[in-house]
This record gives sequence, C-alpha cells and structure tokens, in this order.
Amino acid sequence: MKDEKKRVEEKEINQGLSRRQFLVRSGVVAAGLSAFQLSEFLNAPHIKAAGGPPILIGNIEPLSGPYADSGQDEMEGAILANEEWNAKGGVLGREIKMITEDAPSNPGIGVQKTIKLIKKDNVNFLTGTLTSSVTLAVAEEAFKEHKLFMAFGSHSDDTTMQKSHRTTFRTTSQNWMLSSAVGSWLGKNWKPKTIYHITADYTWGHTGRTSMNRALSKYGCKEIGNDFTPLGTKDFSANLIKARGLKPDLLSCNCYGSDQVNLVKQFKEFGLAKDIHLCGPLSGAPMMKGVGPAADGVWGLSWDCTIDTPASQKLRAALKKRFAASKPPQWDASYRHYLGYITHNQLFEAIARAKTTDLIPVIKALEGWKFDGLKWTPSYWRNFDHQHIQDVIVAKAQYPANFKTWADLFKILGHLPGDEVAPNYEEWKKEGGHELEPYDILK
Amino acid sequence: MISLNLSFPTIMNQLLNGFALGTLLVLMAIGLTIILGLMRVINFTHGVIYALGAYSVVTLFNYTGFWPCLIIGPIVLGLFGMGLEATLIRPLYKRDPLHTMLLTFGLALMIEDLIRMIWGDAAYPMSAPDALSGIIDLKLFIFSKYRLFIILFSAGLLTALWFFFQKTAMGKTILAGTFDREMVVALGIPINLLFTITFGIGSALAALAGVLNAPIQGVYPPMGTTIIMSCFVVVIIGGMGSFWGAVIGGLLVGVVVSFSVEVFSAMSDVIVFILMAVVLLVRPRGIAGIEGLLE
Repeated sequence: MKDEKKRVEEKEINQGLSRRQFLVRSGVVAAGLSAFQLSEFLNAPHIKAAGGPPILIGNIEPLSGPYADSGQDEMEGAILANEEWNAKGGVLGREIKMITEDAPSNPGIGVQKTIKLIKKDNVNFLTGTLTSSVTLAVAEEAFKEHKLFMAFGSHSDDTTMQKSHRTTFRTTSQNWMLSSAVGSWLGKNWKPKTIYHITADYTWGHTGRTSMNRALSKYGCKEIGNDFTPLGTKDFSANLIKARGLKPDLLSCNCYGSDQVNLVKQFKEFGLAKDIHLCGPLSGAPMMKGVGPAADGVWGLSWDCTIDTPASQKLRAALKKRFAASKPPQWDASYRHYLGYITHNQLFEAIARAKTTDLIPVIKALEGWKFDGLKWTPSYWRNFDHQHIQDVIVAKAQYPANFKTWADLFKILGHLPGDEVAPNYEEWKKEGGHELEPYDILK
Repeated sequence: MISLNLSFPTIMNQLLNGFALGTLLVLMAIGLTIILGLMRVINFTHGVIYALGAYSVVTLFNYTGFWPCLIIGPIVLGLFGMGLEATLIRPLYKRDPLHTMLLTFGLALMIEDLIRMIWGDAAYPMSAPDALSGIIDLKLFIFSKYRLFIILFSAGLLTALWFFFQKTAMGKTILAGTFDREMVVALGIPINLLFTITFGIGSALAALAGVLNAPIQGVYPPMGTTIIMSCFVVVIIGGMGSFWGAVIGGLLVGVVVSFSVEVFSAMSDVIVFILMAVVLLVRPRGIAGIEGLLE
C-alpha cells in the first residue's frame, strides 16, 4: 500500500518533465553557470595582484536601522582607504578586498554576520561596527576565532575596558574621553549644578551617563534624574516635559543616531532651550544634518571636517572627490568617514610593517605605535587596552543663518590631548579593566 | 528611576502631551476598528499605509511643502487602499478571517520591503511647517505648537467623521454594518461597494496619521510595523468595532504612556500592555466593544 502511494507520488513528480526536457534544461543551466564562473575567474583580482591572494577584510556596519547614516559614512571612509592602497599596488603586493555586511544595531545579527565572514568568506581581518552592543558581540566572536578586529565606532567604555581583548582595537574615543572633555568645558564655562539624563538603554548609553556624571562631579554637578529609553525611541516628549519640571541646568542626551535627532528636535519643539543647556558625550554630522535648524548642544567629537590641520583637510578633499558627486549639495565628510579611513590605513600600515597578515605580528605592529591621527598632537595605540589615544574635540552644534554645508553644523570650542582625558592605568584597573590575554593563547 | 515631581503645570502638560500622542493612535485605530467591525478583516496593511503616508511627505515636501501633503497623501493612499480591497482582499471574504489576516500580513511585509527599495533604509528627519514650529505659551506651561495643532486638527476631523457616521446615509449604513452585517446585506445594500469605501476611508485616515506624525518622529521603513502593535492594543482596549471605543482607547493609551514616563519611566514600554490586561479582565469586550464580533 505504502509502495503504491510512493510510486504514484513519484509518477506525479516525474510527469511534469520529460527526460529530454530535463537534459536540455539542465544543460542550459550548466552552460550559464560555467559562463558566469569563467567571467568571475577572468575578473578575479588575484589574477591582477602580484604578491598573492587578496587580503580580505570583513566589514560589519549598520546600513539599516537608527544608525544607518553613520554606518554608511564609516563604510565610505574604509572604501577610500582601500582604494588608495590598491592604487599603490595593495599591501605586500596583495590587493585589498572588502566584504561589507549589514548588522543593524542587533548583537545577534552581528554575531551571525561575523561567523559568516570568518567561516564562509575566510576573511583575514574584521573591521567596523558602530553600535557598542554589536561591537562587544563581534569582539567576543573574533577573539574566540583568533581574528584581529578593529572597531571603528563603538564608544562604550567596556569595549577597551571590562571587555577588552588582545584581538580588539578601538579607533574612536571612548565615552570616558569624550565626557571628560565635554564635562571639563561645561564645568569651566557654564558651572552647572544639576544634570538630567536621557539615556539609550544599552551599554553605550549606560557608560555615557556614568562618564558624564564622573566628569561633571569634579565641578560639583549632581545627577537629579535619568530616563532609560529603548534604542529606536522616536518620541521623547514626556521625558522632556518631566525634565523641564525638575529644572536641571544641563540635559544630557546619551542617545545616538535617529534617537538623538528626534531628541534634539523635540528639545527645541518643547522650548526647553530657554532654561536648560543641552549636552551629550557624542554627536556628529550624521545626526545634526537631520536636526537642521534645531541644532543645539555641546558635544564630544573624535574628528570634524573643519579641523584645520593639512592632513585632515587632505582627507576631507579626498572624501569629497570620491563621494560628493553622489551626495546632496550640502554634503561634507563626517567623523565616521574619518574612523573608517584611519582604521583601515592603520591596519594596512601594520600589515606592511609586520610583512605578514598573521595575527600576532600584526597585533604587535599596532601596539604602542605612534602615528599621525590627522589632528593636533600625535595619536598612538595604547598597549594595555588597545585604545586609540587621540585629541578629543568639544564642539557646539549649530545651524547658522548662512548655513551652506554640513561643515557648518559644528563649531569647535576646544580640544584636549588624549592622555589628559583618557582613564590612566590605575583608573582603568579600578573600573575593572580586563588585562589583555597573553599572545600564546592566540597561537 | 522613580521620581515624583507632580506639580499642577507638569500634570496638565503631560495630560495635553498624552492627548497629542493619543490622537494619532485614534486616527489609526478608527480605520482599523471599522474595517474589523464591518468586514471582519484584521488589516495588517494599516501600518504600512501609515508609513506610506509619512513617505508621501518625504517625496512631496520639496515640491509642495507640508500642507498639500495633508490632502494628497490620504487621497492617493485611500484610493490605493480601495484598489487593494477590490482586487486582493475581496476574493477572500468567503474564507476564514485568518486568510485575510495572512494576506494583509504578507502584503505589509512586501510593502515595507518596497519602501526600503524606493526610499532606502535610513531615516528621514522631517520638520514641522514654519507656521507651526516652535512653542506656544499656554500661561500654565509652554507647549509645542505643532502638537497642539495635531490635537485640534484631529478633533475637528473626528467630529466630521462622527457626523458622517451619524447623519449621512452611507455613514449610517457603514455603522449599521458593523453591528449587523447580515441585515445590511438582506436590505439589498451593495455591500462590496460599502466595503471598498470603508477600506478607503480607513486607509486615508492611516495615511493622514502618517503625514501628521512625519515631522514628530521622522520617517523610517519599519514605522508601520512599530505603530500597528499599539493600534491593536488601542482597538482591544476600546473594544473591537467601536468608533468611540477607538477614541477613548487611543486617548487613554496616550495619557497613560505620558504619565508613566513622568512617574516611573522604566514602565512606559509595558504599561499599555498592563492596561490592556486590566481592561480585558474587567471588560473582556473592551471599553465599548460590540457584542458578537469575532466571538
């Protein structure tokens, strides 16, 4: 009975296709596939490269979701660095190829994409990420798989503190650095006594709040309230009305991306600017271009396209030349471009110094390395936590009457050298800094 | 963090803010609840039509400014809704309501992807029209001009809608249909046309909510999916199929969210679901639910 049923089913399946049809169709498909493979083979970069197979970079960015604008900028910065190096003949004579994966502010997806990049694409290095929760998840996976991971964007302290790894480097300034700079400027200039926080409810927001409090407590400023809001919050009206009722001197926006755009706009919409100063550990053009005429607040920045050093202006010009054609007329480079660009540059230089893509030599080539961070004082990769120590900028967000380009969105109020604002070893240790693993573990 | 600073101005300020949050939910929920009441369709496309309404501002703003969007968006998307009903949803009426739910759910996913293909993944921040940007001093407290406009505009629209349902033949028929569809059919009223028009009105209201919300929340691909959950909660709290239920439910949710932030902000995400659970325990059909609907 069962066999009979099976036969009937098989018959039904086979009925749709004759043997001849099957042969013809599969022949066409096979011919198509092989033609495709042939063209892939002819176009393959390793044919062109002299010194061996391409160096594969797995780049993870949020290209959708609340942080999409920033993710796009980071990717573009990385692309520019790749293209500059490839034009010079690659690194160690090998072409650089980058595979970008979208991980929209979700650690689970971040891990999936990391595993895909490592296991399926066999990438040599991992770079990118923006959302700190994703960075931490990718960093864990990268450490487990013995891959060097150069984080562009994560600002949460724990990326190079409690959850640091020998395999993780972080290019941007951590919250501690940004908040110390912002806090000291606010403390000296506005002498605030009270601060209210609206905080994105994940690791970056949390450390942003504690860092701001730490920096401002030196000037006698106390927290009088905090609201945690989920990442992706669109309406802050009730939080802002609540904050106004408590009459703080400062309102710290510990939110990023479109959350920050909405918060700053609604800060103006509800007329809070009259009595309260807006501030926050981190902002940038990806947000303030969206805020537009409501732009406000004093913020920390890792880079700005108006930095007057020749090296920064050279990068800005290169970015403009490469990307401006596809952008709106008011476009200008953002600090996210800088992060993508400088990280890839640093990685390629380290590979060139190490003369290999092997993990440990490249890590050693980076550790303690002093370089031009395109700002005022030299940058370096700190040995004990792999933090990029660099000048931190305090800037005021603005939308001047004669607004022309996104370069007009921030006015630099001051800058402090990285060593002054970063936690020193004792502070780092006190906060539970995780000593980097010995090299042997990575063999 | 629990903090209590309930001065009278703050209370009134949060109340008005709750109304502003709530009226947008009311506009959404009325369409949803009437489509549900009359047609027994659990319409998941409602959220994406709201999103398309917001995207109409993105596309039209540079050509027309904000005000014409208030008319063009709802009309175009109302017609779109009517087309959707007449071509895809109508063939499924004879089947289990689950089938139309699956259809609209699938359509919602497809339209959201279409939005990403057309407008991209990133959010578009929008601004209120110049005449309504800034604040208005209400003596007791200052408030956002634009949100006050939303409350007044929606109140006017809801009054007009109520007149339509109470005083016009078509409105009365639609409302009667939500109570007793069989009777409306038995009286020889062309029910197909009535369904299409109802779907069109519901879609136009959703699109209007999208247009109104664009300057507040910005425009981003999953905005429809985000709001649809709250809308179903409003419909359940207010009672399925009820016009006034949707109004009361929407305002209640807005006010409760606003106050929960003031009193205990960590609760503001779950408070609507607690409210829904409490209402369902006390009144299983919601505040003004129609007897026999989907029962």
